[in-house]
Amino acid sequence: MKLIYCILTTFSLTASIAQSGMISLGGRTTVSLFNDGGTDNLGTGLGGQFRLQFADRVNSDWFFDYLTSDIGTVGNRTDYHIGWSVLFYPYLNDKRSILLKPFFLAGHCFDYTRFESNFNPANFDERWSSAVQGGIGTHLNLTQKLDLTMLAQYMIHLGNHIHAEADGQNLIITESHGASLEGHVLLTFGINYKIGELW
Amino acid sequence: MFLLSSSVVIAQNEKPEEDYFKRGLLKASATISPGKMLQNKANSIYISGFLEYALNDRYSLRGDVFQFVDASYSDASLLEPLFMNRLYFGAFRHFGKKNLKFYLGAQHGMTFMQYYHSYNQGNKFSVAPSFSLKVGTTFYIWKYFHFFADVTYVNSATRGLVFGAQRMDELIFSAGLGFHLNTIKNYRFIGTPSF
Repeated sequence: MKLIYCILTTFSLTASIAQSGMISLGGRTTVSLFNDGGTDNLGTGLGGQFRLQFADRVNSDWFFDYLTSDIGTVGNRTDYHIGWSVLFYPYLNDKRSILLKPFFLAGHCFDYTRFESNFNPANFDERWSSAVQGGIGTHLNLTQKLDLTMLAQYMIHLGNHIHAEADGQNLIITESHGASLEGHVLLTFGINYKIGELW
Repeated sequence: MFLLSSSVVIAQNEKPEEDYFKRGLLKASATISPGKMLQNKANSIYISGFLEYALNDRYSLRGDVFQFVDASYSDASLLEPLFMNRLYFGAFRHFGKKNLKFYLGAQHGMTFMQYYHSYNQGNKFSVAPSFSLKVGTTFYIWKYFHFFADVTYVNSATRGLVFGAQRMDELIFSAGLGFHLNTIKNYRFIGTPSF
């Protein structure tokens, strides 16, 4: 414990405990690990978010992500996510200095996905869906106002099912009847800056 | 004896060296940056620029832009951009004492590219999510000027090509003269006047 305390004080971070009403703004890079829909390739994305902290233990994260990934060598997939998550901080240190601030999160998301052939842009399909997500993460407080955030979450989509797979040089896109679930793991690395306090 | 005493007087009159990198410092520059495309096997040339704001004497927020000019391609080059612009924004950590600083940072960004796709589809435009890692050094020589040198690793991929995706990771070298301005005035407390 003494070692941890020494590390925290060495970094001389001053993240205030009372942060209710705080608004932050930031950017994020996301890696998407798809495990369905024939798009097992890694997707990469850019996004942004703002945070409004409701209470000392409860924060909210309002985000937008733009992600791209490959479907073999014959197609590509683009995802747009817009949503929100609520963050819960299980540990509130009573010291005024803290380096790491872990959290659990859960939230909702709306998204648009487009599958497209690399050879024939007329061969495409798209869908709108809704999603829920949950995960864990931590803030790394660099200064009183600046933090890095790392989080891992699983997002599960509810919508019509589109399956895209490579067949030789062709992209076969099939749409199933009825709704289905499709999920993916998102790893996000963000940088945030606290711009003010609402209350 | 006279020379010795003069030098002592001069030494006594010298002001202590000012640390220029501190909260409120606004930095900017533009330079020509050569790059090395790691998978596309080409040597590129960019015009680059940055704008940076110091949050305190250790951390800063910084935006970078790289405008692709041209490249010398090899036989292994699979993609020849007609237009390419890379935009990044992120946070930096600065190390070192006095006016010689070392820094490293991570940035989120986008790569905008136009390229020739195929006979049927002609030129296409791609917007690719990207990130960069940068390491470098700065030497602050005066209250308005500094020298800098850094290397940036850029991670990006162009998707939707006839052969699939092409990784466009790159190392970009930048160096040159930069400009800075302290946007926060230092007020010195000289005591409460007494009457």
